[in-house]
Amino acid sequence: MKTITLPPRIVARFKKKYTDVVGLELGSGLSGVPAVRIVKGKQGFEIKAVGILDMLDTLPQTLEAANASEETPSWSLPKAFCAPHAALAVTSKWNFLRHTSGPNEEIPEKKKCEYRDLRRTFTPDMPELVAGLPEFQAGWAASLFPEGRAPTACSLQISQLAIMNSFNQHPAVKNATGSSVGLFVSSQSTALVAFQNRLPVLYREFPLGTSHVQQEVASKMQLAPILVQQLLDEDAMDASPYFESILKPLFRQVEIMNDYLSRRRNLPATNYFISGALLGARYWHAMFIKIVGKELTHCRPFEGIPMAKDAVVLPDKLESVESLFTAAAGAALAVMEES
Amino acid sequence: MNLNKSLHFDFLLESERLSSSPLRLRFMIPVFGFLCLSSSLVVWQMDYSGGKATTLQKKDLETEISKLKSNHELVLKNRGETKELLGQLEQLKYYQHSKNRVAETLAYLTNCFTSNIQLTELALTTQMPSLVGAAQPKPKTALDIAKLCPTNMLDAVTLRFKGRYYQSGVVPVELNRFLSALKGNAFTSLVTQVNRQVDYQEDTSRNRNESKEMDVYIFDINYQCLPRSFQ
Repeated sequence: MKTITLPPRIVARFKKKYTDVVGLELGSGLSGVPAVRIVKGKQGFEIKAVGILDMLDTLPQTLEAANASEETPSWSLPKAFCAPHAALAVTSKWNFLRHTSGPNEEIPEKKKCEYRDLRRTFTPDMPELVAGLPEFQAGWAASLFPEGRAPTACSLQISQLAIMNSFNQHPAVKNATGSSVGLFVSSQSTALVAFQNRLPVLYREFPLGTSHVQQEVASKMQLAPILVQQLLDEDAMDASPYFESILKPLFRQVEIMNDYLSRRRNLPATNYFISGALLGARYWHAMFIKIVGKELTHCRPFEGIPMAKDAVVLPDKLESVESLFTAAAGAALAVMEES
Repeated sequence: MNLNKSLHFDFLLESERLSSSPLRLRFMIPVFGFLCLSSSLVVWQMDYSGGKATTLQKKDLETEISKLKSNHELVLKNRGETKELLGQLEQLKYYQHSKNRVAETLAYLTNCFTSNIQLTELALTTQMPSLVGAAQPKPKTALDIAKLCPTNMLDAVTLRFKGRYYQSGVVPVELNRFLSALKGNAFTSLVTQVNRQVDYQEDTSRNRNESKEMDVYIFDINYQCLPRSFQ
């Protein structure tokens, strides 16, 4: 049967417009659910509500657990977070995002359990990116919000991409020209992404996250991990030697990426960004200058997005915990940016 | 190659994309469809019943009309006749009005004559139409007659006297006396002096005998009377 492709202008007219979305991160590992409600007005994006909601996040971590649980809970959000639509970002060890070696490459994860996977090619000369989310987690997340009550799910993303979407909305990233390298630091790993004109051309994951840094520094300083954060915030001591040995392998990867951009794409990186909860941020910056020899720009998720007049902000010190909302904000922003 | 520049990888299935509106389209569309269908059926049923009732009513009316048709014609005929008769009655009333009572006045004429004058003809005429002309057929009904009647409200009336009188000498004494009498008050309700025509001449057939002292004259007088008024 012959298919008719409508012009994008007409398709866009009939496409649903999302102007009020609450982003939620499921499986964050926190005691609650990070939630950010963002509205799109004439002046641009505005944060309407932000907070870690006191919800029981029982995202099944194994297929057995998913089969064992009788039914998915039905969530009802506080009024301030009740946008018409919810964009969900799932953080899970089961998720994956990587380049494929070819268009029909098999996904080995699918042999273990059923997966929802999406493939996308950003540049013709680069292998496609494939992302996957296990069906038992996707189904669980999609059925959290029943029909006929706000919000209902309008998007389901993996947190790696939601974070990248949040990063893409940062003013420094928007203004950056040429190639850039982004480091997305999470608890268990750091994603390194080479961008060309804000499109990912190379994606790598390095198994070094905030928790590893905390453990390593604690071990080297012979301290309890919980005390490391407090100690690093004080200027009394210099922890540079500890950080150098920990961060050097990671920053070497940045150099490799830059080398790739120079050789393969003939456009070396001119901007270096970092996003996520950094333990001892000043050491990260100092080490980056020392090892790579470039400035590292720290991108906070809410920079460039003003608070609405009647915004509900639940955390007492939002700046110190801002990075916890990166995936939630990115999920909401991705939906609104695309509509 | 289909290139998509968006980093939004959406794993949500279309079946999982639900509406937050309390009015669910998935539920409302069949309900609305059912309502539309049922209301259409009701309207159609009403139209059908209405049409059927109208047809029956039309049929009944037609039957009734056919039944009443002969009576209706009779009524129309009677109405026409009534109208005609009323017209005639009115005409008769006009004629009753127009009646000029002349008997007493004419009876007074006997006082105006002497032994020397004799009336041979007296004619009081009105302008009556000739009902049966040569060119037109004989009227059959009263309406036909009415059509031939004059439509003016006044009829001219003329009075004609014919007679003879004896005259000795040149002056018509007897005739003048008679004419003077007709000018009197007794006749003002009958004749007018306007357009009076008086003719007299010697009656030669009677005056052959020359030995007689008086000659015989004949006269013919026409008077215009007061008109008959039908008002």
